[in-house]
Amino acid sequence: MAGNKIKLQSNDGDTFDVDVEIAKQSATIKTMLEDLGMSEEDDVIPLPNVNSAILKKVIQWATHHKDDPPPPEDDENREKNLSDISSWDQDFLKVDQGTLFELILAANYLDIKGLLDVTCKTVANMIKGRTPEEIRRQFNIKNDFTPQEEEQIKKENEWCEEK
Amino acid sequence: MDGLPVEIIHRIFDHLEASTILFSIQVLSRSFRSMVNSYNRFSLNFKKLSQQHFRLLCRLLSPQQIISLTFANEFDESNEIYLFLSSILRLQSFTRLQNLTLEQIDEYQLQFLLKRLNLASIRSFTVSIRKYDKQLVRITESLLTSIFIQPTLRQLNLSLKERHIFYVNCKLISTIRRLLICNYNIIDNLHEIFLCCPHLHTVVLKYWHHRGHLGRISGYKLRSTFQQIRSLSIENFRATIDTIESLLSLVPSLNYLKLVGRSEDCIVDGSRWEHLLQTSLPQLNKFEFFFHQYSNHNKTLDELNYIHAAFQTPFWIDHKQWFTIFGYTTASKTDIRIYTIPICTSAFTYDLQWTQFPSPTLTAMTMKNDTVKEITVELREYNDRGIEKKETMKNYFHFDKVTCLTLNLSSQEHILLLASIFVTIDITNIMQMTISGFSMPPDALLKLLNFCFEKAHNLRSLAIGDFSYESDSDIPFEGICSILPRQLQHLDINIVDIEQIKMLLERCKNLLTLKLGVRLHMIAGIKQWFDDNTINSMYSDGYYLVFVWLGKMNIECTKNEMVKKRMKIDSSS
Repeated sequence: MAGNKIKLQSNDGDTFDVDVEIAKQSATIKTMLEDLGMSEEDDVIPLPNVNSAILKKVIQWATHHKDDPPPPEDDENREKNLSDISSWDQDFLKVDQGTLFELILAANYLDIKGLLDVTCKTVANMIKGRTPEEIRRQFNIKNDFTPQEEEQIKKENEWCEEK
Repeated sequence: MDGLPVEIIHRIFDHLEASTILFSIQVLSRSFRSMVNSYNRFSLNFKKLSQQHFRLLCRLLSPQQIISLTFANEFDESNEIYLFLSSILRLQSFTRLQNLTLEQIDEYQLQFLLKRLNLASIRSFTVSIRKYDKQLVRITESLLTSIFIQPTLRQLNLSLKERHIFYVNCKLISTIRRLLICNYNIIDNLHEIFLCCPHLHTVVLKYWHHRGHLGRISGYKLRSTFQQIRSLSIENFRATIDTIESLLSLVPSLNYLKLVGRSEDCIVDGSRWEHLLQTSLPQLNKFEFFFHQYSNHNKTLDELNYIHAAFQTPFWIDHKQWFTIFGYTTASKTDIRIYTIPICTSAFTYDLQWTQFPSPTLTAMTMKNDTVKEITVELREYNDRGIEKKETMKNYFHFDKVTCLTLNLSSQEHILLLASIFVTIDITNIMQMTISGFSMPPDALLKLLNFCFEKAHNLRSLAIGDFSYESDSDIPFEGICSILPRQLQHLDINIVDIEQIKMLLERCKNLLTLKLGVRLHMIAGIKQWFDDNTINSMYSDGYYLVFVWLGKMNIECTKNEMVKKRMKIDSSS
């Protein structure tokens, strides 16, 4: 095996050869390699929380972003700018909702900040500008408030007039 | 989505406005209500809010849930910050603030806030002052200095007027990483600021105008260098190349440099820049610029070609791969501009009185200018149709991220020209539009507006300027009103009759603010109209204008409208 590759194993048993530098975009894998003393050459790194299809997508994303500068320190430039998703990422994330949520969970588990940010932004974009009823339809959310609770919410959000 | 763990849902909330979280998500279901209640990273941006949401947010959110606050007195005439200060009683309870942005604040409001807010966790602080108070200068300086040395501070953005100077004692230590200063014109003091900031890596200077001694650095200071600074942007400068060279000598480790500005001297001297970059900034790997040089004498085509050729050497084209577009004023040949592509400025003007041509390497490339957010189309003085010769520019003028469009037109024939320009802009992203011009017949004006609104589905803010009609009866107000996009939230328009307010509000039911150009004698009547027909509207008037932050429509008024509508239906049936 080439010296700068590692093997990642999905929870359904598939193994992927990945460049170490690409894999290290995941802070979880980086920690395994550096702190836990796992060898790059022999060991297979099991990823019990990620299935094969999602791992393949994650590797595709990490490969495309391998030369990106590191994300800003501690969210120092955190802005709610939802239009700054690159067109490549927009195309990459044109997937069904289930896949999008699985990518979020994988990015969270693998601790890939860039992927987690862009996937969360994509969901935020799906919410922005919609009415509650539209959001419920979009994400199949059941309104389980009782009529009394509905009334209470309506009261809370009533226009407050100057006394 | 409600199957996702709460910490992930909270990360999604991190990308949403507080009003969306409170008014759209909290009401979805019990579990979402609970997740919203436990969220404590609210980012509160009071800009562009309806008065209803403004008041509700002030009432509903607990200060401890808020980590970011943004306020602005958005218009010269408005005073939203006053409303906030009068609505929030417990400023000391904001104990977790990490970001604070105060735009166009009056100096007394700034002091009131800074003396009360707890900024022990502040990471980013932004302020621009609208009205100064001579007697408060010293206190403001001392408050700003105390923020500057906050150990948690990472980002500081200051917009200061010339006389309001931010002096820093070089014995202080600041932990900031990023510094943006607008209107700060004493270059000598930058040396002291850099000295206090050992971790500073990014500096942005905006509106940097240098004249006389303000543009010089003391001789002994020129021997210091600040290796920690890696990125420098100077935007909207008006300075000589010598002054810029002096500043660059302080920061030899730059790997990013952006220069946007104008000068009367040899700012467009490619050979001088080539030498300067090679000798003084060896680590520079990205250089973006937009230079505008103006002079009193017409240049010959040979002179222009010589200037352009200096940016086409192997250093620019092969070694650095920094490609440029070169342009000059077609008729006078007095003004020159040269800029790197993709365009590095947030605002760009389509002025067809310029002749422009790119580096030969660029002709086959398609460039997306994603940094450009504002486009101005300037055709007022333009009489040549000239569409054909602009066709070649389409390749490298692609603007997909523009949200603000200004059109200055003077002839109905410009509509045809506009169609050719619109091919290069993604109109569906436009949120703010300003249209002005003159000498446009009413039917042509309506055609123009229809054309502009047709694809602008996300338009929220519209200003329609004065089209200089000889008499009020020539203005096609009803026609304009009938095609206004219904989703508009902010409208700036001239009226000649108070009854026209009602027409506007009936057409655009989502309006949050109205800026009305009016006759002087109408002002009192307009205020009375809003008092009679709305609740809590706030207004202020200026010279021939009234600005209104709309409150709730009066129920009586709404009832009357319903009765009228019913009568209409009854009479038609």
